[in-house]
Amino acid sequence: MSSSTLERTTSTGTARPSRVPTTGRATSTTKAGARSRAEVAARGRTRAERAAERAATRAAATEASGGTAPFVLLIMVLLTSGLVATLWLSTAAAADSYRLDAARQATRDRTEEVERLHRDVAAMQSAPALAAAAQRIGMVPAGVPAVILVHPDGTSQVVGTPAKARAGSPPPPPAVPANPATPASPAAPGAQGTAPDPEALANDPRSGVQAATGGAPAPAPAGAGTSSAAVPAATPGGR
Amino acid sequence: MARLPATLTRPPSRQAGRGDRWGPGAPGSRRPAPPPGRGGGPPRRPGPPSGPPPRARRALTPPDPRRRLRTGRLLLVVLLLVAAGKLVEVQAIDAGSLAADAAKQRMTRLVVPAERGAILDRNGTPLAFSVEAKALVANPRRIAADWSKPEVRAVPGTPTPDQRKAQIAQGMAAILHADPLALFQELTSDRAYVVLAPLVDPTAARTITTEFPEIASEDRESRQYPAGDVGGSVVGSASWSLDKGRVRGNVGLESAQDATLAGSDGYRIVDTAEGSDAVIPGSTRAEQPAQAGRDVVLTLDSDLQYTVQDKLSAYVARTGAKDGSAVVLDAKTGQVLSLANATAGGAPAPGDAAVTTPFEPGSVNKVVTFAGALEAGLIKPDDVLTVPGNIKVADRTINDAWVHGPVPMTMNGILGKSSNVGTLMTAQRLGPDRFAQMLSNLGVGTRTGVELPGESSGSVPPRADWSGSTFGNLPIGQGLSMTTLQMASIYQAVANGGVRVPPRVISATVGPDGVRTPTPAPAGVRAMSPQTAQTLRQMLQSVTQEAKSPNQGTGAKAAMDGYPVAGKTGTAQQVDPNCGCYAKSTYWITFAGMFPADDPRYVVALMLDAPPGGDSAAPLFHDIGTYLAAHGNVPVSTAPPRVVPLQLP
Repeated sequence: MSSSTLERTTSTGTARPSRVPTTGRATSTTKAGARSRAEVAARGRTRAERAAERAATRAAATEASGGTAPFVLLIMVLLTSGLVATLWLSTAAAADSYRLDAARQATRDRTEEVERLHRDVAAMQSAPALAAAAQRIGMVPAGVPAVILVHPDGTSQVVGTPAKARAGSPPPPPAVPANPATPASPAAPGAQGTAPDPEALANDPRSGVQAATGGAPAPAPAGAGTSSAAVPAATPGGR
Repeated sequence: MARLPATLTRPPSRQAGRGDRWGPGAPGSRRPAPPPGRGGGPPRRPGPPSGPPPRARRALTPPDPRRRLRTGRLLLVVLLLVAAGKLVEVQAIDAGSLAADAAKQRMTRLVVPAERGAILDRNGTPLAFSVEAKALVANPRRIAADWSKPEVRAVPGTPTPDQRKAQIAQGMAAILHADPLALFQELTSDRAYVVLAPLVDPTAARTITTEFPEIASEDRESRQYPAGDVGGSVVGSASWSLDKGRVRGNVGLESAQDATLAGSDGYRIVDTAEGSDAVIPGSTRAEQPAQAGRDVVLTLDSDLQYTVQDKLSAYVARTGAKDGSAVVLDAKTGQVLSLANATAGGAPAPGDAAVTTPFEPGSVNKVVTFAGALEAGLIKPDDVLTVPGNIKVADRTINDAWVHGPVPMTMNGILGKSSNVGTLMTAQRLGPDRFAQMLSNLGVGTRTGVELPGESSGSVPPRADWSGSTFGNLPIGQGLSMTTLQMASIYQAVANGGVRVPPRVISATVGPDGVRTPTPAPAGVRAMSPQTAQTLRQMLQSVTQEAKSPNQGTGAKAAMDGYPVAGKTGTAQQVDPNCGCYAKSTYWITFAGMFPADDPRYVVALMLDAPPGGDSAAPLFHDIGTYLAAHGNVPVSTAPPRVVPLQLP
């Protein structure tokens, strides 16, 4: 039975290429429901008939396969290129995220450096630090200045008594900035925090500043780290 | 659903050879069994024998496949129903609370800290600002436990816990320039939480935490005071508050202006990985940016402040006074340009005595008497009064500071030589009511309203309580008290043509967007007419008058070359707590003055508490004044110094 079906299949397939409409009929037959199928079965020729129809369908499919291959190929190419693109994009994104991370770190480092420099500048340009620095390079505060007034008629008049500015006993300047968040950055160990002003680098900043504090809380921008680290409860500024 | 049992049941029906009867029933019916089942038990039993022999054998072995299938189906249906019920419960009934629970597990509210505003002086020089910092903390117990684990100990060459702690201490000390021993002691303490360094530069903190994973870092904000103690009594201080998780003001403006400076923290609601703080990227659900605090711009001038503080400290140290305070006001606006305090030996004072601690002003207060008398038109500067050596007011006799018989003195002289008797004679002509009025006009006994915390109002006995002798005390500045700031404010009224502008120390606030909001200037209070103020300024110049003996003012040392100075010295006896009387040797030494006298720019008030030698504060005024004149580019006056007769022969 099966061999005859095969034979018929091939023969019909070659002999009658235009069986496509039959396919429609066959499908409708399959879909037609239980009753029609029962009738067919009842007629007894069922199997052979159905096999013939199925074969016809298959033949039609084989015929159409001429158009399927490029389509499958296209899909495959699309899938592959999609996969490659996805891989490439995710790799690129990963690489970018590393670069982003590096850039963020660099930004953070710069921000911290800027903050540190701001702090150092603020400490150095504060009045006590300037006064201490001036004193260190041998400057003395001006005394009472005398003023020369030149009148419209060309005569001049000296107001006040000019006197030489003398160092005298420098009064104790108020405490110099305590620098609580001190510790010098590892990048420039000992540079910031230790020496708030350039001149200080030449002379000994600590002795120069501390000697002048006279009873004020230890200023020690350098030592602040020490003290604050040693005494965890220390408040910033030590005031 | 319907089809599945049908196909399942088809084979047995075919086996029975009843395909044709089954056909129609199978697709539609959910119960393929009934048709044959309806016949009851017997048709089923005979079924097998009628079928082909091998299949019959198979059907015989299980008691009844259909029943089994039915039971299984029922079971499946029940299970499905249970599952569906649970699904409805989870998805619909409990959905809200379950979702909330899930969210709670992974949702984290991160606080975005707001940066605290800075405190700047009038020129924008920072007096206080914040920088980011980290606190380095550790759990010594855990370090010990971790390094004592058998699997860790098993590796040869592993340091013991103590060796490891020593490594950490030395490594940290090298980076922090700290004492390794102190760190080691902290690390070996038997505690679960130690703060090794409270405020560390973030970069250094990161280096340490990378090197020693046992050390954790916590976010902190470090308050910087670049000028140290300059303006310290005004600025105050702030420190990290563990309770609030932010910097909180402790004293001074840092405390009083905490709300302005602090800003408001923002938040971010994000998902974090279970059991860690790692934020899942892109999981931010809500975000409220932090509102940075506002900067507070003071009226102080930090250079001037430094100098005044410096000079005051030196002077206090030199005179041996217990403490001292100085206030410099802008004569026109009443703004506080400098406010300094010093304690014994010239050390910066912890509090803000110039605002919080009143004292008896002494003769400085005579200006109130003279302002009242001038305002009432009772006196003119050149009026001559014969002043006896003492005067009896009610039951008390008041002397002059120097012994003399009745001498003719001008009003200039009474003020310039600070005659108590002459002042009291004038006060009695004025009367207590008009005097009390002038006192209140000049703000004595009421707070100036300066923004600094803890301001004292000073004290003036209520008018109703004045006894006969009270009016013998108040006109010469005893029996009432005022702060240095109030004293400066009185003289500011004289300097400003009679209009007293209450002193203020905050000139503006600057928002995070950089918009500057000036603090509204307080309304001026007219204390006296401009003429009175002008006349008074002239009379006050007699105090700093440098002349031959009887015509020498008490504050001649305050005089400055090129600038006419109007001011008044004061020496008030302090109350001796032992006897409840005025002490004979301890004084409050005061000086309040302004310059240039004809059109004042600056008002300076000084107070020294009990200098043993009773030194005058006038030289300090001179020192501060000369700096002010140069600092403020005050043009010199070419007019010769005013010299008027104080005491007639």
